[in-house]
Amino acid sequence: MASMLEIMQYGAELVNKDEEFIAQMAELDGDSIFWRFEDDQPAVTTKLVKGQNVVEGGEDPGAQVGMKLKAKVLLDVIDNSLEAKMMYTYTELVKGDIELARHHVFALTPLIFGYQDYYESDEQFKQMVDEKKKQVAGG
Amino acid sequence: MKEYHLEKEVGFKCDTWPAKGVPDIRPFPEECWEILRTLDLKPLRGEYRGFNMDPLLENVDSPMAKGAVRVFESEKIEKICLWWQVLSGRSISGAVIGFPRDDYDFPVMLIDWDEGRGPGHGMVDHMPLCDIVLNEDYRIKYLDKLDGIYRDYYDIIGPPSLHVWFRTLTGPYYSFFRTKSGGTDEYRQRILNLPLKYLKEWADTVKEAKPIEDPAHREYCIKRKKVLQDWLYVRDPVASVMLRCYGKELGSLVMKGLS
Repeated sequence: MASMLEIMQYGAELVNKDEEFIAQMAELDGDSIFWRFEDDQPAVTTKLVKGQNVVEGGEDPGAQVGMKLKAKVLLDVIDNSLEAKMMYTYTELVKGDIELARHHVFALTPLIFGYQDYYESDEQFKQMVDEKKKQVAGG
Repeated sequence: MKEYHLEKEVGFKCDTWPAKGVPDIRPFPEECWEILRTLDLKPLRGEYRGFNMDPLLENVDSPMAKGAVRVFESEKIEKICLWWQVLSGRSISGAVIGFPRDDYDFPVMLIDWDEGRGPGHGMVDHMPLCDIVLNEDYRIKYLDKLDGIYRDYYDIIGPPSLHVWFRTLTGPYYSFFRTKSGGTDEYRQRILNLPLKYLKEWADTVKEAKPIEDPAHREYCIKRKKVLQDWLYVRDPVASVMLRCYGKELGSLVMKGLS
């Protein structure tokens, strides 16, 4: 069973090689957000570094924004059962204010849409997401 | 097939910018324009509330977002914006936001619609320019025409926006809807007709509107309209997206177009 870190890293590697997303992310740099998962999953930090997504374990103290949410919420977005723009409905800010969050979370747009793309096209990624969702949903 | 005039008269169409995975992109801006074009609109050019609006005559483009923010005016309409944007090549946002000139008190038209490959959402309202408890005649005159439509769509309306400042601006017929929560194409097509019905009613309201006669009521409505516009400009969460997409100068102009 893959961890959230492994799922997010695997998907990010696919997005980082995708020419369409590379073009969208070219000017993005320096955004750092940590994800504190409520459902007993270790935290993850996502960063934009010179137009590439970097996914690390734990809560980076240098992150501008920290979000607390259920891992299932992110997995729901990835498998398209929850609208990405509605993720904030289920998210509590634990670091940074709402303006900082909007500014920096926007930099994750290609990563999130890329996760959705590869959920549909990459069998291994889909399997990782589906299995994890069953686990965190208790299914 | 129905003939649309959006591309010829406004310069874009619903699929000008591809949106990967969005099923059957409906000609929503085209359908909105067929209603709006009956209002004798002309492009809003030059200075508007401290901004030069001319750059919005062209489409807007950034690595992450592409679209159009067209603003118009008429004898009775101070500004109406038709917005269409594709974010990251995967998510569509559309809006129609219209404000009366200072001599008129008809409600503010609001349509917002977001849709990607999965679930989407939208909202529609005729936002009153005065307190409709103290001015019940205003509700009867301008808003109650929506009652039948509201009842027809009552099964899909809600929940409301999470932004409390926004909820304080809305009228009694404010509707928030999710575009795929019913799961069928038939549901989706039905739900996307709701904002068009509100827009048609608003266009009829504009055509029938007469200038305000009571100077005190006029000043009151202007004051409320300015607050509403300022709040939309400053507080709408899409502002940070626009600033990030297009930079401070163009992003601020886009928000002025939308508010």
